[in-house]
Amino acid sequence: MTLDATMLVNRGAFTLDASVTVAPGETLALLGPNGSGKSTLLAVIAGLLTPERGTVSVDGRVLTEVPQLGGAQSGGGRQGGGRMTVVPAHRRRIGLLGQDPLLFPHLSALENVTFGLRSHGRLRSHGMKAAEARERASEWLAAVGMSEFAARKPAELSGGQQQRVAIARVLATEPDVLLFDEPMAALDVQNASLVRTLLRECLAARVSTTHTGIDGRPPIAPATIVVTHDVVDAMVLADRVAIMDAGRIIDSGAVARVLGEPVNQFAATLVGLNVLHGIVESSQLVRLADGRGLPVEGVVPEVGAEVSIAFPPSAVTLRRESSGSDPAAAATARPTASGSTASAPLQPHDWLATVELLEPGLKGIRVTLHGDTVVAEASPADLLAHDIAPGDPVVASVDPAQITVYPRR
Amino acid sequence: MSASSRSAQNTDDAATRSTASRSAASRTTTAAGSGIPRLLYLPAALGFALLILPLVGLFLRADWPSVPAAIVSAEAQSALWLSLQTALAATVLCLIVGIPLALVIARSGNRLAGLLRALTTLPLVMPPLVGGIALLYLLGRNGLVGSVLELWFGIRIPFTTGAVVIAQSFVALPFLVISVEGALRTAGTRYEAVAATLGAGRWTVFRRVTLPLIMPGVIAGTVLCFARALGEFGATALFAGNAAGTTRTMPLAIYTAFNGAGVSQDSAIALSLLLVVVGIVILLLLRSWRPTPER
Repeated sequence: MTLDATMLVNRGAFTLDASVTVAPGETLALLGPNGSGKSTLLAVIAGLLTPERGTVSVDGRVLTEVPQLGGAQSGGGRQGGGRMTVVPAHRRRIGLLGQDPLLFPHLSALENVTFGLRSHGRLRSHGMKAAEARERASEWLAAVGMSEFAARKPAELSGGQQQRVAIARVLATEPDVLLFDEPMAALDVQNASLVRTLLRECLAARVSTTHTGIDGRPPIAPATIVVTHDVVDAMVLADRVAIMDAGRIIDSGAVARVLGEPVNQFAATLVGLNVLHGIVESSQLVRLADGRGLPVEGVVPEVGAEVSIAFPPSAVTLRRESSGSDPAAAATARPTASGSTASAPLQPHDWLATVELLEPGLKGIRVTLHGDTVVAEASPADLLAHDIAPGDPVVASVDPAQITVYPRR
Repeated sequence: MSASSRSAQNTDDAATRSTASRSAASRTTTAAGSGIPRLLYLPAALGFALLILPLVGLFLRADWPSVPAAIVSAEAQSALWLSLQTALAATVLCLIVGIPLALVIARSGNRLAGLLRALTTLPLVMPPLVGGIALLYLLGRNGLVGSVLELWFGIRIPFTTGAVVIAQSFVALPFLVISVEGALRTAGTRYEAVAATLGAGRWTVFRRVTLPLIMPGVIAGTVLCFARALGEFGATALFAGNAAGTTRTMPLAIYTAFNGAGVSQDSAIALSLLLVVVGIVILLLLRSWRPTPER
């Protein structure tokens, strides 16, 4: 089932203006910080929110249609201009799983899964027979490894277990579209990893290959959107990634491309890379907008091309500015992770900077530089060896081998 | 109910957000106890005394040898029976209209909800006597609706048992609505939204998700509602009158006895004791009742 959604939502100062298309069996990761409009986008698709204007359709079946020039009230109604369609959430066959499992507290794990099967129907009005639904629900609980907890109430399950039941519950209804809204965000690292793996398996199996689908119809691979602010989710679960910022999708495409070649500083920060823009000066040098030159290696676009360059913070080497004239510092200096020797004399393309902040980073200590967007990362041992602390003047250089150069978009 | 299933039931209740915080809070205070400033025990004790001492006085003042006779008297039995019947009927009526009303208020926009809530709780701040007068002017023979009812259908409401039920509902309904609306607000709409995305229509969501989620609030509201209906006097006296057998409920019988119409004050006290005991028994029964989980 192909999902097509275009929408405009105004919420005071915030505007969501985005469109997404997800192919059958495809998983799109929607990556962005809190408040970027990801959940709102899902709410519109799920039918929980009526946009100011927009269209949501699944394989041509129109679920939301709010024509232009209509200040639509949420909840529906007809506008003067064109015909407005808002299919209620329960008739959309769109499954939604949020950060909070929201298992019905008065029902056992099994009854929670049965709930969807009983109320859901591809024949709108009636769901499955009770016995059949229970049997199917048991199979789904087994699929998420929760069989032994079938009789437990949600309050007697851990967060991770609840989320697994919630996954079984939403998958059991075999929706045309699956929406996951930060499903791992409320879990601790270990549980998040378990649930992520489970989701990956379920999505890889394309949900319903073991079943014949509700009402005997063959199972259909759902279009899936995973909203997340965690790059790992995108890498593990998605075929495609879209990056959202302030209500807009600023980049989308294959996971490797979007994550590896961030389109701007915002996207770069999100994926934990440095990104800079410049012009190719030679096959070994990119001249940045601020006049700095950065040596690069490998495949580089033609001379004169506008490019972006991306590199991980760990590719940045910092040493004390005085290192050249300070024999003590040079003596204690050791090779850094990037392989360059910290005590080497100032190279033509190194630059001077001032350390602003030291923070915990992904793999070590993150070092932000005053008046510079470039972020470095180094092990505590390195920083101690070079005696680098906030306020210190440093010489920064980037390992050319770790720089990716790509055409600017 | 076995001990284990009972505890499971408790954790189940705890899962609903409203009770979770409440029961957790009560548990910590009973466990720790030291969290309360000592000085506050004094007003707390005074408050408790204000509530309980009058009842103690009633028990002490009672002419115990004559109590059994007063309680089993035909008049007392009839009044008690009428009270129970009308209070029950009023409670059922309140549940039927009160839960939907609470739902409408809870799901309305802020301003509309505020207005509706204020109007709904009006009977709370009004003396029941005023309510009785208002009901009389609405449903009385010359009232706005009453005249129409009598003219077109030959129905006369005031001074009937039906009037008692209406008067009791009038004063008791706000308690139910407030309690249920609070539960609805605490439960929020997130579970309902999830149920909808699972394919459940509005009725299914209401029946299988909303109602079970707010059940603690419904029970609490029902208890309050029934208790208020059982004790209702003012509105009943004005709107339904004081006719033995048809509108003389326990409170009216007690009033009648106290004023010495035929019987002594001793019998008023005995009747009061009976009402208090019956009220306590019913409240205990209602409180111990818990909704069984759906299968």
